[in-house]
Amino acid sequence: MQPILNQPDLTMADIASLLLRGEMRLSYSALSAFKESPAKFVEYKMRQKVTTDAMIFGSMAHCLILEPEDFDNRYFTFDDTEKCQAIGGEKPRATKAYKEWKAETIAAAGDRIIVDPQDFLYAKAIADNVKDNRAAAKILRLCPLHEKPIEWEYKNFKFHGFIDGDGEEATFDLKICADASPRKFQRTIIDMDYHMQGAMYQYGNGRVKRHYMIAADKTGGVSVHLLHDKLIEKGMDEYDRLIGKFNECILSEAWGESYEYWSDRYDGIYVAEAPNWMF
Amino acid sequence: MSHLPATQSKRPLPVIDDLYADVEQAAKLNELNRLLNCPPKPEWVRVNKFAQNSKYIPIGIVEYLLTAIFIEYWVEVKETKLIANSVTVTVRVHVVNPITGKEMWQDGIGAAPLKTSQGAKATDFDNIIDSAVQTGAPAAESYAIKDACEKWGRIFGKDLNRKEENTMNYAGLESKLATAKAKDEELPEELKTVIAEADAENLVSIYKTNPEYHNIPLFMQLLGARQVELKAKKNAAHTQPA
Repeated sequence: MQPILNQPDLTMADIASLLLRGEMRLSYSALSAFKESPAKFVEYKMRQKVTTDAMIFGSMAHCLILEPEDFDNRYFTFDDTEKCQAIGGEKPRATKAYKEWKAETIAAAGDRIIVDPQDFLYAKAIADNVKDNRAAAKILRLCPLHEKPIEWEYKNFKFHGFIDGDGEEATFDLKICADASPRKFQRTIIDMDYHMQGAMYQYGNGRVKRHYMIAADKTGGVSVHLLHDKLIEKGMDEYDRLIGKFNECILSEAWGESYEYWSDRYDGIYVAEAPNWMF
Repeated sequence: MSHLPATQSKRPLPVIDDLYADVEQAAKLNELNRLLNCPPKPEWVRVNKFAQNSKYIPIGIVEYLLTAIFIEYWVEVKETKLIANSVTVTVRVHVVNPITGKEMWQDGIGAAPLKTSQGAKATDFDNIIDSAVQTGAPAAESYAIKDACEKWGRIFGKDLNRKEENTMNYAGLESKLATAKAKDEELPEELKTVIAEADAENLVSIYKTNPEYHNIPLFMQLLGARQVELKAKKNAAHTQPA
């Protein structure tokens, strides 16, 4: 199936040109896509943005934790339990009355994102868990400014992002994840390059502060992690390396390349070696 | 008349670029800060069994570090006095900053109890041993010197007994971020000429072999512009009738 193009009039050469002239910005997500492969970056830039249920759930939990006062302006919980009971019968949702009521209710929601009441309850539970967790509560208190938009220039590109929480001496990023247990999440930090995201935001924010990550999962787990300065430094090294490779990709027009782009070998092949534990 | 409280216009804070206006100097000073904030060599650190196993660096090592890092230093004793049963000494340690050549100093305070005879209470001044002041005062001075030096950084023992959260070496990180800042430097004319005459195949190698210019946005912009130019020429050649 062909991807639906978000920017059908632009070629990758046009996008590269816009990026070099500073008329288009990069982000952590864009760099992460490029780290996967140049082709993934093209897909990220060109394909129409699709909002998945998981993304909606994550942003809803973010909103309930960071900007709860704004929740009703952005989300609408569609709960038809009472209506179904009122209509009665075996299949109340198949009735004309229900369909008319649903159409009216959805129209009344306007631009707000419609969410399932069950999802809302889960997200609310996560938000309560984070606020009740003493480590997370401390970081939320330290960083009173939430969802702070930032823009910056690094080397020859412009970047943008949002800092989930900013304070006088610390910043934090909130992640709704599959498993917030400390051991698992610290692997996730490395796997997902969250330390690079931390470095990018420290740089973009213009001041070095302690950077924390709050991880929360659906099972009620909440863990808070302080990213060591050495880890942030490694993140900065990775940021720098990726920008270099991105520039090389522009100049070599390697946008069609998949994983071969990152191979150390000239022919793009990877060598599968025996891990140390086998010896 | 308004009853609202008078408001003062806020004084804007300096931005990081203002603070780094003297980039060269700032970078060098950051190097000094990085050195001063390196953790001390594990062999230098001792444990005081009589003070809840707290860690410390002996005065001999501190004096060695003062000489090794600053070359020149001197200690000024500001005050000595007796507080309760302890002699206290306040000192000012002067050093010459190896980067700026300017003198800088830190104050420190140290105390040592006056020893009493075995079995006597610590506050029993009738039982103070003969050499109590003779040994107590220099010990207090040593503590004062170490207290002053700790303020310069971790290499002198700062943070030795603090919890892990406070031991992050953000000076190093700041230095790293500062050196990554885009530079306003000009590109050499020869390099501009090389780019202007480059083939499409050479653009990547020009980029790779000149890492010192990666922080200058113009460098990549010129390479990108040359790439567009070459492509346009190629397209024009293809569309031209034979």
